Amino acid sequence: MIELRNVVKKYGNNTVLKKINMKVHDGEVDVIIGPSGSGKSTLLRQMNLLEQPTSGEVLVDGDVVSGKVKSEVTRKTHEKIGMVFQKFNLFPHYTVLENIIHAPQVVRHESKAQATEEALSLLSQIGLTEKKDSYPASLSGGQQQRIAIIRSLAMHPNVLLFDEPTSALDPEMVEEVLKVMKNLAKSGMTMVVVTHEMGFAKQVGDRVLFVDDGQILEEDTPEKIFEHAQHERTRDFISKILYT
Amino acid sequence: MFQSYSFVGKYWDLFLKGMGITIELAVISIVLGLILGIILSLMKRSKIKVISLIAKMYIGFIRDTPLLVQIYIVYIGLPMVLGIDVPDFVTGVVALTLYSAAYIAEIIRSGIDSLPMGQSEAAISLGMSKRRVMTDIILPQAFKNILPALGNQFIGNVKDSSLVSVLGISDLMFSAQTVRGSTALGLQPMLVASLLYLVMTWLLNSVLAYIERRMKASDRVA
Repeated sequence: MIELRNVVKKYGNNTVLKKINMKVHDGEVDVIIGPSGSGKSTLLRQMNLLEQPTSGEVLVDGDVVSGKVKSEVTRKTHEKIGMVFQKFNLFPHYTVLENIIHAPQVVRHESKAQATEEALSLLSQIGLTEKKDSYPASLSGGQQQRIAIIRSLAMHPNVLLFDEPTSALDPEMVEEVLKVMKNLAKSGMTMVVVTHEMGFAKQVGDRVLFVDDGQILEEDTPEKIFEHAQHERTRDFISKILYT
Repeated sequence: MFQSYSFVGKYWDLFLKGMGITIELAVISIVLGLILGIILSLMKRSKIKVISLIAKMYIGFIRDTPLLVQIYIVYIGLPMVLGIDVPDFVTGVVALTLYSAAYIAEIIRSGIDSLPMGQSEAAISLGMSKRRVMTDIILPQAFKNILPALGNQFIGNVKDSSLVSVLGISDLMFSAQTVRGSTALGLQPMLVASLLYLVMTWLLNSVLAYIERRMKASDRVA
């Protein structure tokens, strides 16, 4: 589905990603872990072209979508690949309902009635129907993030990327967001998740990728990575995350 | 001492007519300046270097030269460029528009820059076109943030319009000068004019405060 080929990302002289090669397969949940500053968010942002690689290419469904392509190709890629951010990024000037139905209306040209019907169904799935007319500022972080997730879902993406979706949340709200994500994973959604939530990785991850210093140092099933990691760096990182 | 203000009754019509012209100058230059200001701020953000450079140079020129000089440049230059006689009122409107647009462009730029990157990234990630991201997500939020600064600029338009009286446009300032000439009073007509300018800016302020309150609706914790 998404493939990165020899992707290198530099900011000036600072190389953040060093020749990344990876594939995201349909229906798979990939969990990216690694120390902060290792390049895992940058890696995720290459996948939906929020940032262009300095060299190498990004392919979606076999077609090159990075580099010098028509802007419509880039836009289509964005449409296919949803993204959930650490800071939710709901639109503060729209109500919850408007946040969800806006893109389906202007991008997918759905009618307002059609978009609203689907939005209400998604809202009821996460138990926030009564918040449909509220503005984001009046909601808790956990509520905002759950709405951000269904806002992406309303666009029927093929893949959903999560950039540390629970890192900005108060501890007691982490679980409600993870629950929505777990249900999504069970429904067969293709997901790539950058997170420090090791429980999530173990429970629903098909594959865990350990990113360190701009490279994928190791990738394997959660069991193997957590119990029998090949590299000292990986074991060291995992023990720090699990036991602190 | 109030006897010296008896001229007000006699010249009331003249003051009101001048005030009307001032309002027309201000309103038209605010509306046109806003449109041109948006265009300029988008030009400045353009990836095409020539377009962004033109906008930068224009804004720099307007901000770093006196308005009075610009008024004369338009007064003399506009008929030369167009090859026709330009009514003084139009000259005034054009000069005020060109002037305020540069400031408005800078205000809009600051409003756009003050928004977190996440807003446009979220909109882009939903597959919205660049134009949509700008018109639906960025500009409405930027406008809310810059409303106070924009309000100051609008009030500036009302006050700055007094300068075009040098062209002989019979605005409020011109009326005050006329009254001074006919009554041989020095200070009083100017004080009356200031009072009328104050009334206009106070009204404008009230309208802006109302709009600001309305736009704050989404900040309320419901």
